Amino acid sequence: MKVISANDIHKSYTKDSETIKGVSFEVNEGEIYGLLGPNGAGKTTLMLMISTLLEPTSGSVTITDLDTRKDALEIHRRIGFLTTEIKLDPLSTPNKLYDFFAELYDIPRDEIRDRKALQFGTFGITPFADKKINELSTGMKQKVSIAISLIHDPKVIIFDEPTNGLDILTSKQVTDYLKHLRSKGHSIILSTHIFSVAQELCDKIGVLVDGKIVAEGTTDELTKITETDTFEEAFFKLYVENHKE
Amino acid sequence: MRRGTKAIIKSFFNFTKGAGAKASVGAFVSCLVFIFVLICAFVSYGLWYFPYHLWSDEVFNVIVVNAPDSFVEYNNSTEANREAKRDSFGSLTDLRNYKNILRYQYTYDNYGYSEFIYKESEAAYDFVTYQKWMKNEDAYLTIVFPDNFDELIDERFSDGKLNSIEVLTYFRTDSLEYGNMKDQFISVYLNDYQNYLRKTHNVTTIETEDFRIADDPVPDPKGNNSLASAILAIGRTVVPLIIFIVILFAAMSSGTNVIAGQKENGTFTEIIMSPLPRSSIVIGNTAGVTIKALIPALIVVLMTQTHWRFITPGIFAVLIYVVSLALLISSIVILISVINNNIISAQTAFLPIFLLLIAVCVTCIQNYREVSELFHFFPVYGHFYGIGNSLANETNIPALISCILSSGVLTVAIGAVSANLLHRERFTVSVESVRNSEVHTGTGTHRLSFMERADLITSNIVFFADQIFYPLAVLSVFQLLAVVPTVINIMSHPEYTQFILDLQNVKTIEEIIATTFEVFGIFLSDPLFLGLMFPGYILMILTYLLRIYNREKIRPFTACFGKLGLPLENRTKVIKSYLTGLVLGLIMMGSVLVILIITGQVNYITFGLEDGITVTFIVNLLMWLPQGMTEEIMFRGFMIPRIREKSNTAVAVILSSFLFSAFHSANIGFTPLAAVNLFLIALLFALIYLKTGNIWMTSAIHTMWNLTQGNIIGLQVSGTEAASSVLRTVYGKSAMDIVTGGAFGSEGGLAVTAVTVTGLIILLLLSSLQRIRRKQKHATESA
Repeated sequence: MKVISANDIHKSYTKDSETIKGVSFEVNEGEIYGLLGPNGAGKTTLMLMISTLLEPTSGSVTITDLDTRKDALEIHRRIGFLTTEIKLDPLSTPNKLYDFFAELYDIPRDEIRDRKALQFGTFGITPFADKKINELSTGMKQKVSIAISLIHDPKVIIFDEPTNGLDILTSKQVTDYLKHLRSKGHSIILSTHIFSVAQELCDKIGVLVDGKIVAEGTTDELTKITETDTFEEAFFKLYVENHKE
Repeated sequence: MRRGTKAIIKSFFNFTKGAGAKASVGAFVSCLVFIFVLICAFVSYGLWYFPYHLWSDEVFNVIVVNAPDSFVEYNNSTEANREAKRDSFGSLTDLRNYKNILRYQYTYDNYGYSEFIYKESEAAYDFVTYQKWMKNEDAYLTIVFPDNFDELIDERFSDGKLNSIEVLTYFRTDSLEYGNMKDQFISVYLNDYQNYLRKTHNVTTIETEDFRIADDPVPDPKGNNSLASAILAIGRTVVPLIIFIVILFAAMSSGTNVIAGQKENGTFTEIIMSPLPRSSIVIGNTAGVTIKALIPALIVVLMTQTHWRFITPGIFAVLIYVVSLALLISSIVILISVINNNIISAQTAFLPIFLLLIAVCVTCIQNYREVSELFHFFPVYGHFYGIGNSLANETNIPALISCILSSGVLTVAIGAVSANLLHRERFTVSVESVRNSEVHTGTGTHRLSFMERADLITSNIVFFADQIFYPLAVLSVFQLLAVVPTVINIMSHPEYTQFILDLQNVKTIEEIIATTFEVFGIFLSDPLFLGLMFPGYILMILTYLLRIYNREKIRPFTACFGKLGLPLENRTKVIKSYLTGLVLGLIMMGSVLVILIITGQVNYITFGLEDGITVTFIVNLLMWLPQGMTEEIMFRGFMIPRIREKSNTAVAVILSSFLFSAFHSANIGFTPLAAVNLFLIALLFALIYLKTGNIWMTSAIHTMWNLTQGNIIGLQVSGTEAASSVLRTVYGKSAMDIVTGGAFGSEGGLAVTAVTVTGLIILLLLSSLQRIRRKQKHATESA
């Protein structure tokens, strides 16, 4: 069953240049879809459009059959938007922030406590749940940020550069958690410029070059299409063929 | 209400610093100061109620002058009654009788304690003597009967005519209590005495009073003879002003911390990703800010009620006004918070609105006596006057309704704009970063969207506000630092005592402001102040250098001088420019003097430097050096290139010249002609700056101009009187202010206009000559 589908979306910030030049793809239930591309290819723009924070200039994105333009609020209930750039109020504590967002997401009051215990347990936040955010390390902050973004247990997760700036341990924890979510039937779309992440996690990879998806498939399929030996070579070949300067 | 909205409101009161508002250090310190002031106010409020005079000197006695026999008889007859009252109350100094003391406080049934002291006097209006008596006898009231009171009363009752018998009363005013005690005494005791008189004369039914009681407050040397009216005036001016400031400040500090603050620290992306509608986000934040702003405002209202015993129906109107004002201001703050991406820019953007509203308040204070009623119907003006009127219990109901409704409509409209702006994609943080990087890579020439234009306007407003407020802030900080020791020093001077004495005769708010400005003028011309301003100006230059060093990241430090228009590279050129400037300044001021002499304004010139004043002369000399340079940095070296970068040279020159003129407008004796002159002088300096590319020459001209004017020729410099001078120039009796400039100094006169215009013409001629020469050179070279 398809969960996310993008139909020929375009996005231009200025009149004369297009950042996204017609992108279409589909993400099915229980699937991790990876958008792989160099910096400036338009990954973040694409992710923002999927998560309703940006509106496409033309084309449409539907998430569980809801249009991002029309049903943004309903979509917000179903998606979790994660980015490594998310910072948190430095003077608050994980506990307070969790409670605040639980209210915003309208989570039933009697459920908040159990859910918090569970999520904080999974990420190992419990020991520092009452410390101020600005006393936490980057990895800890990232964990808190992820826990808060997943507060409403969304079916669809949009993750921009999931392991960017994380140490090896935390990044392992994050990738393991994503796999765990997939096994529970969640759909995940992530953007990355790191091959190993794409290779290890994604069921399907779209290679994004200059605002266009130039090839799509599993790592094996991609190497086959490009007639190369490794996935890295396949990516470079696709990039050289499609990048215009 | 949605749960999310409630959560947002709740986050404002998360004292362990929740996701919502967090206070900056400045706000925290201001809150502490506010709480301190509040405690002081409450303590003073307690003292007001504390019946301390019961313990110290018991002032209950009543002096009766020329007491008629009937009054003495009546007093004797009531003696037993009064004694019983005293017994039932018990000793006032006994704390166990606190209930009676409270009863005493509220009923003023004090005549039970009064003892009558009989005196004789011929002069019925000799209140100076009565005051002395009251002080000596612990009396609060003097009753003066006519000599032949009993006979007059007999006549009155026999022929029934009202023959204008007048009993005079004088009461002390050094405590508000005495006024109330006097009222009580007249309405109860003297009324009973009248009934007693009727009874003894067997008269029963007369509707009019038998004698008229004229009560006069004795003028108190401390000068609070019109306390009640003063309180009413305060209620109409100071109280609304305080409420405005408190609401503005509280709303600003909490309102810019949400949304703009959340964008800064990144929480806002999470909030906007939640399923909460954006209108709810705006409503929640506006409500939170409103409540935060209301807390201190309501305390102020409460204080007015308890402190001045104004418990009237007007209080409800005041509350309505305050709530609606808080809502309006909160919605404005939230709108600004939505447009800006961090706390600092939001606060800077709110600053003009803050100052504008304070300016509105000041206009309201100035005109509160004779303002058109129409103003009461509009928001802000209506709030200001409405609060004042309602405190005086003169609520204008239609005005209230109109003001509240229009302000409510405005609030909703602003809230709708905020919610609508939140819908725009560019106002989320993560978008902003994408956008900036993408926009720069794209090719430039596209038409700006409405939002981009709004953003540009905001950033421009912030930029120009910075240009205006930065020099103002720097100047006032250092002037304040120099004024404090001056004030402490001047307190021992006769001028200060005179000021305090003068204040006693001041009745209106305007007069207080005028007197304060006058005294501030004395401070500003004090040698100590001038001496302190010497390091002050140097520190100001340093402040500017550090700002450039820190903000514009110019390295090494010496290079920052160049960015202020003070390049250090070519030393000989610097010295040459500076010396030329000094000579030019001398020539210009000299020409002014020559014009003044030729036009017959000057009566005579003598040597004016006295012994012992040489120190002040040197202090002045030292002070003008950095003073000229500081002003040149502020208005030329710093301001012009920065404004030029944003717009163009013409705007930079005209705006900086206008600001230069405006900055001097606070000085004494400022006239429209002075404004024009200062503008022209600034224009001349700006053109010289543009010509030379640095401010060395203009700094020298500026310094020499002021020095020559103030300390060599002996005229006033822009309203500041120079303390000592080599020459003393005295204007003749026929001198015309329009030529000499009057109190503002020669810069307010036509003589300076003539010199400045000549200077401008020479400069323009020189540059066109240069251009022609360059062209010729060019022509010969190419040939």
